[in-house]
Amino acid sequence: MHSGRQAGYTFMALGLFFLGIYLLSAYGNHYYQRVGNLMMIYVILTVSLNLSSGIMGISSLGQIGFMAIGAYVAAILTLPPGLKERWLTGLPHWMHSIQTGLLPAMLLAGLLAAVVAFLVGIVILRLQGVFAAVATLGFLIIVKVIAENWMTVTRGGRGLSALPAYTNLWWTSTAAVVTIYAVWRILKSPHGRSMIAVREHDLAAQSVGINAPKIRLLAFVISAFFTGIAGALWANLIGVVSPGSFYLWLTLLIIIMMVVGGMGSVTGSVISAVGFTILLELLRGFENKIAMYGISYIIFAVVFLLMIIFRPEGIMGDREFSWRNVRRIIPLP
Amino acid sequence: MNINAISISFGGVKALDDYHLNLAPSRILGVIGPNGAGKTTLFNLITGFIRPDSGHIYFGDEEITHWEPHRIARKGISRSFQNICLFNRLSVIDNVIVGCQIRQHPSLLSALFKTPGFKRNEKKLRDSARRLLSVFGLEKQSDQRAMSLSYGDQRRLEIARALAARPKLLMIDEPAAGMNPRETEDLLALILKLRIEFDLTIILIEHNMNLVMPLCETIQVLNYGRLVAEGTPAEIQQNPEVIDAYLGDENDIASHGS
Repeated sequence: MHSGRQAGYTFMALGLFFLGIYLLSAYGNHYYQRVGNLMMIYVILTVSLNLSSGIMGISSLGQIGFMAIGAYVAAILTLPPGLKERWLTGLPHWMHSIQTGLLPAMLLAGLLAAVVAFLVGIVILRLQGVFAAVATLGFLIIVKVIAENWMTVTRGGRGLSALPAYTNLWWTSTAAVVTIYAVWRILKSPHGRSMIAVREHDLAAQSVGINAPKIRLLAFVISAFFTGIAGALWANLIGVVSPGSFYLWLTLLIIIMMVVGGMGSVTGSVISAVGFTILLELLRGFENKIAMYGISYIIFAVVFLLMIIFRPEGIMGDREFSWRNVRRIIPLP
Repeated sequence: MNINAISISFGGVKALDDYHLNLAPSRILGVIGPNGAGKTTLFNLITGFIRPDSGHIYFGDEEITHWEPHRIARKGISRSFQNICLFNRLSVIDNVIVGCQIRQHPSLLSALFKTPGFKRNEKKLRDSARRLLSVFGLEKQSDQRAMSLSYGDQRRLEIARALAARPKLLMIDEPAAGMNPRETEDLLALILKLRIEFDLTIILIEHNMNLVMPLCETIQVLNYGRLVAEGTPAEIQQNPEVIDAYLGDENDIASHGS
């Protein structure tokens, strides 16, 4: 198929998507808007995890640590000055009077997460497999402990509240589209090929001139950047950040979303994040109706187990969406 | 290529002891010896996967003894592996493109914005990979995953990937392992053709004498990490020490060849 036509389809699909976003933000009720926002944030988290874990093959359990960093950066930047002065006495004075909007907060959140990923990655990425998993989990714990105890900057366990609710569907959906696009482009570039080559066979990749530690670090840092942005969006959506929010539950959730979608497939991550967000909301409604609290987690776990048993490669494996395949099923013009 | 007295031992076992090599450009060297003689260790040393305990390795006019593997590869040394190591889930053509990408420093931004330069470069990579695949007769399989290829095709793809990196020195580790006499003959013809077409210096590890004897101009014999003999194929076949250590009697040579 001609590539110009494919681009045309893509733009039309994007147009429809943003039309949907417009309708939801103009006419949707608060609940649906909130679910939509969460869905987009999960898409960002899952797609960026897939870059470092699925595509690059780093077994990372510390991804949510970068989300925490992003969330705290955004929270500190967007917190009203009065509260900042009262709570965050550890900040330098010039920061007390500053209150940024969402865009600078997002970008700085992503950047700081990326810088931390760079520094942590230099050390951790020497390890592989289970060792990397344990080390990245260690990183997550360290982030949480710091958030809990650095009272004058994070306000400890009480967390930072009264954050302005800047986040809306336009921000989250745009950030999600940008994340998907960026990861997709990387996947289809020499860098992406190198990443998969290193994942498939480290030594063979080095024998054709790939600097394996460097490409791993690159994937890790880019992944952390987008995860940090998701953290910022989350902070200004929920309005509160506290250390417990960014811990094992979210870590497991995005890993499950990635695995079920298919490790290495951007398409799979998107489908899976969207599907699981809806599933979790439905289950919560069900749980409230029958008043058996906690049952949604059990059902969620069963769905995951069935998936692992009957389709271990996930929904998409490592294949991707293409208009060519859509055309085989639906006759497009 | 010049190797000066390298030695390495693993837990008290000398895998290579006082090994020397002087290889002029465009020559083909065969390295033979029984299993565990240190042949693959030699490859791993030259390509930087392991470091020698002592000694020096020179390539061109530079010492590469302590370089990292990817840097050695960029300098112009490529290899294949004894146990096939392809990028299994990548397509056949992508395996070769990964090799072609060597010495390129594409910017991430050009990929993100899909600049004309980026597209040109991708097309160039794809074209040269396709050309290389057709030399190896693999062009029909180019969109399959590497892991779905037959054993012989996988071996050939490994050499294609190594060549994609445009090496000056190509090191091939047991390419004829598991091949029947017919396939071995084809491989012999292929290596001879590649050597001229790509102006290669070649080091070959191989047990199959039907490949080693007609192909190599010089042969080195290793045994227990020591260089036992070095000479032309004719000299090696006559050398009593070699016959004793490795080749066995005349009948053994014949049976090795089949």
